[in-house]
Amino acid sequence: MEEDRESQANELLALSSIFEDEETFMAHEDKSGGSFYTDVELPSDCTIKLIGQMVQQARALGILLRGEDDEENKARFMLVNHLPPIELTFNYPRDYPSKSAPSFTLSCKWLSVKQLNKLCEKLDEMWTENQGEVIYCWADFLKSETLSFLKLSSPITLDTSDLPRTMRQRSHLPGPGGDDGRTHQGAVGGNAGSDAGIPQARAVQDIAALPNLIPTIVKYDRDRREYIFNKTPNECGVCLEGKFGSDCIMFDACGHVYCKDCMKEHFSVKIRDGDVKGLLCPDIDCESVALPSQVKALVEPELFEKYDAALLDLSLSEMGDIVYCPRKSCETPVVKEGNMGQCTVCGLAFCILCKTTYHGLEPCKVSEEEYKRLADNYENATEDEKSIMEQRYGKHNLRQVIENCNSEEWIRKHSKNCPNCDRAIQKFDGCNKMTCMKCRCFFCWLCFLVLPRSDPYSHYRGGGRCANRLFAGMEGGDMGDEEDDEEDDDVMDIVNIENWWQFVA
Amino acid sequence: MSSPPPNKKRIDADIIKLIEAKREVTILRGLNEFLVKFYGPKGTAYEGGVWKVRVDLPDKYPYKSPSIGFLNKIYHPNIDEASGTVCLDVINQAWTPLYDLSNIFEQFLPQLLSYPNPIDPLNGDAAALFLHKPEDYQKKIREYIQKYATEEVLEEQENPSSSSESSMSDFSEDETEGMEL
Repeated sequence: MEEDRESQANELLALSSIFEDEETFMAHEDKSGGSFYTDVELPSDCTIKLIGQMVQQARALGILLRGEDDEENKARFMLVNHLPPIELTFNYPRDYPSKSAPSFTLSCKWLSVKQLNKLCEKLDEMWTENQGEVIYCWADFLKSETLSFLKLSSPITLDTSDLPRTMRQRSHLPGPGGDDGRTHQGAVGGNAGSDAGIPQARAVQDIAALPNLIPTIVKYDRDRREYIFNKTPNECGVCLEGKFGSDCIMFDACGHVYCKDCMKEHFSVKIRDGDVKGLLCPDIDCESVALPSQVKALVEPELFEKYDAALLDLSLSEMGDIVYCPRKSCETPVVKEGNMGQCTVCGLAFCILCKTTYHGLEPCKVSEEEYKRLADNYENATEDEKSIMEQRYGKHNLRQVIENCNSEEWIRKHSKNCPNCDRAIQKFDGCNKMTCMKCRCFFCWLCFLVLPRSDPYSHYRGGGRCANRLFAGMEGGDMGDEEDDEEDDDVMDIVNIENWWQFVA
Repeated sequence: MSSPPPNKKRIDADIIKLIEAKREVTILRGLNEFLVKFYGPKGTAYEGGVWKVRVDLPDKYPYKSPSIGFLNKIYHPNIDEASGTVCLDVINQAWTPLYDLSNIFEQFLPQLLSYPNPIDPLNGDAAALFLHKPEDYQKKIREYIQKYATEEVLEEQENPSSSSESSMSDFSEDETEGMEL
């Protein structure tokens, strides 16, 4: 017996160290046995066949299903990478491994009691065939041979015949009344060598009722994928640093992975440039778009707000000829007619620019002064007055107005307005031929002329006032400063080359 | 004083890649400014020409694209004749942080020289010639190469034979033409 105890301790020790990394094995504290959580190996691209209510459940969880969409009651297929594990719990009898098999239970969320019982019998058989330390063989079998042994292959059909259809059913019914003393959930196993007197349910389908099955499977699959992703080292293709998945993000559509630091910079640069449509996977020619939630998790809150607003702007402007009725109680989408919109529901005719009653050719009345007055009033108001104003204008709108007023001066100092659409534009770099990010017109940064689409650079040639000033005023540029105006091309070029070569020397 | 910038490893790798591809790289200042020797792509009128291309990496590299300038003159619709600047737009539109400097020199510049975009030109004369008098266009490119973009001209500029300090500004188009060693 002493020998058996030693063998047991050694087996637990070996199992613990073999499965340490996977974290799938735990020895009981008193060394009387242990538990395995065995992920069944699935073929790649494995799907589960869904029928009836399972289809709706999966859809409600946002899972994209495969299968023809035209026939409403047909089966659909759900891609899974991982299924919830089979839990094997074993206890050593005193005379294991010399004489008796360990007693054990198998429980699983997606295998039926019938299927689990077949597995139990197979484990018994494995013990009978070659006695001795058997646990590793059992775990390995469950991992790699469960599917083939149960004759399951993708698409996997779940055996749900024994599951209660609803939670209520479960609490009231004792089960479908099994043949050999089965409960609906567990089954008695004739475990060779165990105390025959106390029947034990050793196969358990550990799920309350059918409605819980799909959500449980989906959640496990997601969690497991995330767990594995987080533990897997990746080399970020942008900074070339090795980082664990937990410091990375993955683009949903393409599966490309980059580190969070790089994507934070990537997104921030794009948002600052007003290029919100381009929050794409950086892979060459890859069209996967970052999810707003991913952007939000990475960039500074102000930048996210900017991105969010620009995105909304963009989608509205892409709708082109649609505006919303300005009446708060109405807000019907209305088709533009020039500067006017006429609501088909409430009949209001309104100016699409200032959102007040249509005023024909008169300019919009909402002036800068009015905004300023509103902002001043609000900032100096008592708490009560403030809440009244907030009710009337909306807290968010008021904050926006104040922000606009405060930054107005900054904008005036640092930006110029697009001569075509009036959007304020700041120039960081590059030549004086500007492209407005909003209306995409070309204009000259020096004289504000809208430049011809066909040849915008013609403006900087010939004898016009901006001739040869394409790069005038560029920071660090030694070209075309105001004084250089009279110099001709060749002279400037020599000055230029001279400077370059000073760097080299 | 300060720790290396987060993009240092990436910039190092970019430069090493250029050097491994047998590019001649001269570091100008820090790791953000350098010169790369660029040879005109084979099978184009630029074949045989050699240019010193200045690369400026912005602080936000590789999230922002590098600025590229030709130091010795080149005749091309999308390159400013006077300053050698390659239009920012052209690089920006295609740029993603996964591109690196070798992409610029192995793909982007050869592509640009082989297929100019005359629709949005920086050098209108070149664009007009390219569209309407392709033979003159090619001729002009070769003339420019003879004047400004041969190994001899580059060498002459680097080690001026006349020792006077003002030699650079004495360069004129006529003189450079006969300046072979």
